[in-house]
Amino acid sequence: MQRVKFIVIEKSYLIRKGIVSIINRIEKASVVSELDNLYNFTSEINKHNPDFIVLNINLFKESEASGNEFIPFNIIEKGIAIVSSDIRDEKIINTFKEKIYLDDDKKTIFNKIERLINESHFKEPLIVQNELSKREITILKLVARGMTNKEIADNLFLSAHTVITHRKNITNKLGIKTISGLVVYALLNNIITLNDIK
Amino acid sequence: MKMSEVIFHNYQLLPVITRFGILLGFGEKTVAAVCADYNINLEFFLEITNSFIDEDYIPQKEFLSFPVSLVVDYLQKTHKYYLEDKFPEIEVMINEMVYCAGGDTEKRVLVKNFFDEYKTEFLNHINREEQKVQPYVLAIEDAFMKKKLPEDLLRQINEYSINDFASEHDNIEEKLNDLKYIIIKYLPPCSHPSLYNKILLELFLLEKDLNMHASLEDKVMIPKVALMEKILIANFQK
Repeated sequence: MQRVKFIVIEKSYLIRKGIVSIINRIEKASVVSELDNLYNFTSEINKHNPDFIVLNINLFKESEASGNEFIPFNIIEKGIAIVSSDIRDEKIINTFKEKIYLDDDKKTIFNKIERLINESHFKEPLIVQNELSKREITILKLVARGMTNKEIADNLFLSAHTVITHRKNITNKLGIKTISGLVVYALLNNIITLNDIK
Repeated sequence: MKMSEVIFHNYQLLPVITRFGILLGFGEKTVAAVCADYNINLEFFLEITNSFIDEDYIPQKEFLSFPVSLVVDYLQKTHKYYLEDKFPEIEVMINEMVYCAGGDTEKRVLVKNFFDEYKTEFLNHINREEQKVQPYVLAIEDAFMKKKLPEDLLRQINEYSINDFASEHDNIEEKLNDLKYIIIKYLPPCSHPSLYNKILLELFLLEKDLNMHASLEDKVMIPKVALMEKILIANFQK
């Protein structure tokens, strides 16, 4: 299952670790990166392509005051603001998708984050085709017989690249990585018999 | 902190303290007192237990301050635990599974054979580490401490350095992963479902222990030895 990715940017170690542990407790959510300042955030965002960015708006204000670049659109778009409870009505806060106040109770914080996850463009793929396709079964049979990718490719008039892609898909569907594991799978499911591999 | 509290905090540490040689029944003694009783390096004990509780704990800088010999000693104890305790235990259950009623015995034999294959691979892996890698690692540390680099060791560094070991460090956990998947997803059930569960539970615990073992090798032992190799070469190669 693919998880919804968060980046947390917060200077205070205490608050950052708190937020991270809350997010990681939510099913489907995981924090892919933590930062304590805004200096490297662009590269981190490019690297992880997060679904949400949780950041303290004070950092935002500090960088603005020091004349650094303005927070780009993608942060606003994906941003969740961490706000101390004494500033509730600033304009800037309202540009964020959601605000977490430092005096929010547990339930409120969880609800806010979960609502965002559910509303976001992120949806589980509706139907996952997880049975092996006919082509994949054909390839599995040959793998089980001990053929190399090259031999399989020649045998089926495919490119080696295609064979590798099929093999990756087989492993993703079954969760089985080794060749002998695949042999056991094929035998258990009567895709091959013991005579085939002797 | 009392040693008993450590265990109540995380019962998965039970086999870990056993492999340090610590026996149960420590009463009200603190961790420090128990370690002193058994002549165990307290700091090292704490680092190991912490890394069991928090998977991202390794690598902490503290780890790099321990002699490699201490790490190797722990790795050897862990090997012993796998070979003398874990594998025989799992093997007994797997054999029991083959002969339990219901389902298809032949299919369970396939799983047993797969386990045997994994076990052989595992033994080879451990033998290679104990006979080739660990003696080399200890020799490097010895040379580093004595500030002397014997000719044959220098030759060995050039021929087969710790980074060669690292790149060959094959992933034996893959078969273990497959075994879990096969039992959970594809093995027809037998008349004794709790036996499957027991086997799976052991496999999950073993996997966790092995991951921790591997990160001790990959993130502590290897970088440390690689650094010593570099320093030795810089000082002694003419």
